[in-house]
Order: sequence, then structure tokens, then C-alpha cells
Amino acid sequence: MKRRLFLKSAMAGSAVATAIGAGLLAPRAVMANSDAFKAISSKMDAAAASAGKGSFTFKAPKIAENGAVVPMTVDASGMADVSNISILVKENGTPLCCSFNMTGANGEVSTRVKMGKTSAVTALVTAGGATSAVTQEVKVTIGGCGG
Amino acid sequence: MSIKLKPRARNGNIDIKLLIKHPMETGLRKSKGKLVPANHITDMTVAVNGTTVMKADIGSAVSKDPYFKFSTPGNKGDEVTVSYNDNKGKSGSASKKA
Amino acid sequence: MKKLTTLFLGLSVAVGFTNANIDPQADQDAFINYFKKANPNVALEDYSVGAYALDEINRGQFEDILSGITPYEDAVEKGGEEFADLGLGKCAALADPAAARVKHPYFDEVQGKVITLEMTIAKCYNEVTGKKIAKNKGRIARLSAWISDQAAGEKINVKVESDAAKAAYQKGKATFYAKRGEFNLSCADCHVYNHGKKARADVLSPALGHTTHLPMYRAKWGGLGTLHRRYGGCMKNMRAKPYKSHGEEFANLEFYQARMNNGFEITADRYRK
Repeated sequence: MKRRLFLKSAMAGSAVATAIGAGLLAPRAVMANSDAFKAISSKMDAAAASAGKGSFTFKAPKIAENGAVVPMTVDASGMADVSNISILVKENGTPLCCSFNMTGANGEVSTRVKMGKTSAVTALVTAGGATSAVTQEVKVTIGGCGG
Repeated sequence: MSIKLKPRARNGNIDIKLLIKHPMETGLRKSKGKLVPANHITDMTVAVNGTTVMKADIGSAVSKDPYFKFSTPGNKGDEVTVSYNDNKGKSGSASKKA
Repeated sequence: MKKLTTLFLGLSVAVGFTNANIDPQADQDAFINYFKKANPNVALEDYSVGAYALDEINRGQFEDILSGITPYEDAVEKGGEEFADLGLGKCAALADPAAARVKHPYFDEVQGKVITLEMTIAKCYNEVTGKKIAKNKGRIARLSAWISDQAAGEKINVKVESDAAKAAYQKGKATFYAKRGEFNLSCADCHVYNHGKKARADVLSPALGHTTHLPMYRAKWGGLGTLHRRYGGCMKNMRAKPYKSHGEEFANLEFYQARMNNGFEITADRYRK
């Protein structure tokens, strides 16, 4: 029994190695988003969950025209001491899209984000040590025309 | 990889629009049956006259050819510098006066 | 019934079918009136932004993209560099890029066919380099976009004057209204009679204004592409065998469509879904 289990896992290991070689399974080195980034993502995710409702403006389309390019704007310029603006897409593999640490720049940022599917999107602002969040659902659809 | 940097002085602020040409591959996309390895910007730094004003952690979910717009206090003639690193160890930077 | 039809056609040929009944201006007036009636609150020049004129949610994203650095800005600049590096200005037809954009598509009386801007670029490229350029995307689209940018703000002014030109125009119009493919759909079915409605998640763009922003950048392509590229893609979507790019059918179709947009301004805002 034990021998079988041992052999099975060993075989599994080599199957994985083969799969990596065949380009079917991406090894760690070529996977996106480092452990460090994922740690920031977890931290921001937790902060968003406990954050109060933000008074800043978060602009994102209700229905994304193209999930690969969704324009978003966070404008917290009315708040004092904005130290961080982060954008989290709940349904993405790693929710954190990007995290901007301001050490002089104003508290506003616009960017374009990739979304795999319909998801709640949260803008998280840290100002004067406190975090607040604004969440909005962005629908992502499949279009009809292409070519 | 090139950077389009457009800093514009306006009322004591510099409005900065920038676009970094970069594929921003997530590592999940297949091309011709094979997974395209992750290839994306991981961090970006913006400085004005040598002083860092913003440091960003960037994930693979930012769209291809990342576009950013933000602003920072400053005046015409100030030099804005943007630099970035990607997960493959490549980097790029650009400077322009507002 | 069939005998009657054959007799009628025979008579037409015998009488010597003239193009006296082909009136592009009347066609355009009717075309514009149709869309004005369908959308009383849409200003005429707004048709230049296509489906976005009828779709507020996506219009916001469109304007967002335009107000930033567009995804095609770099490609268009590159087109300008390539134009200069290749010396395409040496060709008489492209010596004045802005004028070239305004002139095309036009009916060439000597060659007896409609010539589009991309066809002229391809010809010039071949003369200058001896090589053939890919017809729908990449370099040709960059060159066409840069050339078109030079004419931004100028008005579309397609001339349909000679009998031969009118015949080509009429063929293009017939193509636009002919049903084809497995779905038995014509261009008009979607882009005239059902414009503004949705095909799955896409708002069908109105045909009026279709040629103001060529070549276009499509987010779906992640790059620039010519009108014939779009035509071919759409025909494939409609399960119809696409005509050839730079071929007679697409050139005539472009001729008809462009004529319907006379008076519209050429724009450098090329972004579409």
C-alpha cells in the first residue's frame, strides 16, 4: 500500500515535469504575480472587507465594453493625506490589480484593467491612516460581432 | 519597451498621462496550444526632479500597454521620471519636463 | 413569371440601360432622412462615433479611452515614421497625404475601377520596395492611419460622376442591400433596419458615418485594421464567404458607403470595441 502510494506520487511528480516541459503547466517561474504581490493582495482584500464606505469617487462602467480594457478612475483628491489607492477585482485570480503608494502625488489615479468576468470591483483608499472603500459591480459580456 | 510620457503643468499641479508598451501577459493565456509565460510589469516609480512621489505595485490584471493618469504638485519645467521593472527582470524608464 | 422576368430584362438590355436613374445624392438624402427619423435626438455629426451615439454606457468608456493616451497612438506615429523612411511621398498619388485621404475612394476612369486608399498604398509600396504589403493589418493599417490623420477635420467628398463610376457605385449599393450567407442577412439588415439594437452584447452601428474614422482600431483586434478587414470579418460572422480585400466587390461597397458619408468630417478618433 505504502509502496504504491509512494510510486504514485513519484510518477505524479514526473508527469508534472513532463507537463511543464510540454508547456501544458506553467512552472512557478512563469506564473504571474509574485508571492510578495499576492501577500499585498491578501492584505488589501482584508482591509477592504473591514473598511467603511468611502466618500471618494470611484468611476467604472456598469457594463464593460471589453473585459480586456476596462477604464477605471479613483478620485480621492478631496481627502487629506492619501497614502494608498488600490483597486481589487474580486473574481480575478489575484484580486489586487494595482496598488499606488503616494509619497507626494495627489490622491487620484486612472488606469485600464483586465477583468475575466463579471465582478465586484473595489477601490480602496488609505488616507490619514484610515481605509475606506467604494465597491461597484462591473458586468463583463461576450460580444457578437468580431472578425 | 517604450514609454509615452505626457506631463502637463496646470495650476500648481502636473497632470501626468503615461502609457508603457508592455504585453502584460498573465501566464494564463494560450497561443498556438501553449501557455504564454507571465510577462508583466511588477512595479513602477514616478519621481519629480529626482524625488519619488509615487511607487506602485502592479499586477498582471492591468491591461496590455498599461495606461495611467495621475497628478502631483509641481510646475512647468519640473522633470518627471517614470521607471518600471517587470517579472522577467527587464526595466525601462523615461523622463520629460512638464 | 420567369418568362416575364426574362422578357423584361431582355427589353432593358435592348433599350440600352442608362445610368440616368442612378442618383447618389438622392440616395444619400433618403439615407440621412431615414436615420434622422429613427433617432430624432441624435445630431448628424454624432453618427461619426457610430454605435456610441446610441449607447451611453459604452460611450463613456469610449470617451475615457480617447481622453487618455489611445492604444493606437503609438502605431499611428510609427506609420508616419514608416511613410518617411520608405519614401512613399515619392509616389505622385501620396505626395500630399491629406489630399490622398480626401481623394480616396475614387473611380479611376483609366483602370475602370474603384481605387481605395489602401490599394494606392499597396501599389506605391510595391513600386518603392518591390515587395507586396499585407492588405488588411500591420504596416498598411499604420500607413493608412497616419495618412488619414493628416486629413482630420476635412470633409468626405466622394465623386460619382461618370456613367462607369455610377455603375460601380450601384454595384456597391447592391452589395450593401443583398442578403447573403447562412443567416440570409444583408449589411442593411443590421446596420440600417436594426441599427441601435443589440446582437448579443453588441450595439449594431448605424451605417451612416461608417467611413469617417478609417482605418479603425478595434479593441477586439488589439490593433489597427482596414475597412476591408472589417468587411471580411463581418461576412465570416454572418457565415458568408468573404470577398477579397482590395477586390472589386469590397472596393465598390466602400465607394457606396463613403458616398453616403459625403459632408462628414474625417476624424482621427479611431477607437472601437
